[in-house]
Amino acid sequence: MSETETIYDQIEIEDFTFDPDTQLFTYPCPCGDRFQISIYDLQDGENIAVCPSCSLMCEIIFDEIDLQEYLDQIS
Amino acid sequence: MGFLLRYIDCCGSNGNGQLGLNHSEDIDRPTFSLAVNQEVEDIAIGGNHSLILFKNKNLFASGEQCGFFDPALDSDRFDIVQKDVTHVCAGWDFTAIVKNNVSVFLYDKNGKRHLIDLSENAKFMRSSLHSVIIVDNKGSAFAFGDNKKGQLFGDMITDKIVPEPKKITFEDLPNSSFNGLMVLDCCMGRDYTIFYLYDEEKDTNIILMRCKTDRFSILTNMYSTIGDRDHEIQGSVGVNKSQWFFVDKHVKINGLKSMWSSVHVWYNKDDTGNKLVSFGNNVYGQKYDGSKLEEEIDSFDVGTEHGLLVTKDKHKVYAWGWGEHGNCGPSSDGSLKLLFQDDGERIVQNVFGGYANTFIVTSRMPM
Repeated sequence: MSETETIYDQIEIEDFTFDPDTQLFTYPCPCGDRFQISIYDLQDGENIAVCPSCSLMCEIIFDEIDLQEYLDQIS
Repeated sequence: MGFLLRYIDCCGSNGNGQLGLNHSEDIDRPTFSLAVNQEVEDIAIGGNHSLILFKNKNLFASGEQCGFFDPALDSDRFDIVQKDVTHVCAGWDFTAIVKNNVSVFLYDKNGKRHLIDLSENAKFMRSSLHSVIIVDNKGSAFAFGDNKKGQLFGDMITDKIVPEPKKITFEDLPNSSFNGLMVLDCCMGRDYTIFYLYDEEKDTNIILMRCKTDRFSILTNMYSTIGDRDHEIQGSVGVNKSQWFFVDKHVKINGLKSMWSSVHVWYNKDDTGNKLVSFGNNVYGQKYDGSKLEEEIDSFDVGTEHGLLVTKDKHKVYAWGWGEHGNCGPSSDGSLKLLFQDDGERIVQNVFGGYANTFIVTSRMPM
C-alpha cells in the first residue's frame, strides 16, 4: 500500500477497551488484530492508534478530560 | 442424481487458523480448505474465527473462537461443532446461532447461553462487531449487543449494551401511520445500521439509518441515488435518533450489505438491469467501481473493508477494496481485480467476505 499516511477511520475513546496493566487502549481492526495506543501517548497529544498486524491507522476522538477516569484505574 | 460436492477455497487474514488450512499464515491466493458432499447454506466470519453452515444443518467452525463450542477442537481446521443449526452469524469474539429456526443461542467467552425462542421462524441474521439482529418471517426484528451509538434501537431503547434480544420498533418515526413496518433487509457497519423497511399500509419502502454520526454521508448519498425526490430526508442522526427516506418507487433493491464504513446497494431501476453502487468511506477503494467490468454480476458480498463479486457466468470472482492481507489476491491496490477463475469444470456458487479474508464456494459442473 502506498497510502501509509491514510487515516482509516475515527473511533471514539468510549469504544476502546482500556487495560490498566498494559496501559493500552485497544479496539478491533478490520484485519482481526486490534488497534492500540498507550494512555501516555494520548496525554502527549498523540491521537493515532496503529494496528500491529497491518498498516491501518485510526484517529481516536477524545478530550483530555476523558483520560482521568482511565488514569485512576492504573494502580 | 446426486453429487453435491462443494469446494471451499479461501485467502486472506489467517492469524488464528480461521481459514481452516492447517496453519495460521495469511495467504494471498484462493487455496483449497474443505470439500463436503453438501450444499453450503451460509458462511459467517468473525474477528478470528469462521463458521460454515451446510444445508443439512451441520455447522463447522475453525479459528480461535471455535473453542467456545468445544475447547478440544483444533483451531486451524474445520470441524463440526453443532447440529440442527438453521442460521448463523459471527461478531468480533462471539457466534450466534438459531437452531431449528426458532431457538437463539450465543457462544462467547462466557460459554453458551440460550437467549430466546422466537415465536415465528427466523428468516435471516445480521451482525457487526458486537451486535446481532435477527429478522423473522413476518418482518419483525430482534436485536442484542452494542447499542452505544443507538445503532440498534434508536430512541426506543437507550441502554448502551442490550444483553438479551429485544424487539426493534420504529415508533420514533414521527408519523403515526408507520405502524406495522416490516424489516425486509438490514446491514450493519462498525457503528451504524441501515434498515430497509416496507410500510404495508402505504405500500412504500423506506431506508432508515440509526447511528451517532453519519461521518461518511452515507444516508444523504443513498437518498440522492435511490430516494424518492418528492420527499425530503427526514429525522436526524445522533445518539438514539433515526434518519430515513422513502425509496424511489421505480427502484427495486436486491442486495444491501455493509463493510465497516461503507454501504453497498445492488438495485434495479425501471428494469434497466442491476447496478451495484457504494456509499461511504473510500480511502482504500472500498467503493465499488465497475466501469471496467464488462460482465454482469451474479452476486456479491462484502467483508470488513473489501468486496467480492461473482460474474454472471459463475466462473470468475472479482475483488476490490482493502486487500492488505491477501484477501483480494496477490496484487491488490484497491481497484477491481480478478481474484479467482475456475478451470472450466467448476462453477462458483457463493462468495463470502470476512475480516480481511475471503471464502469462495464452488461446485463441479453437472456432467
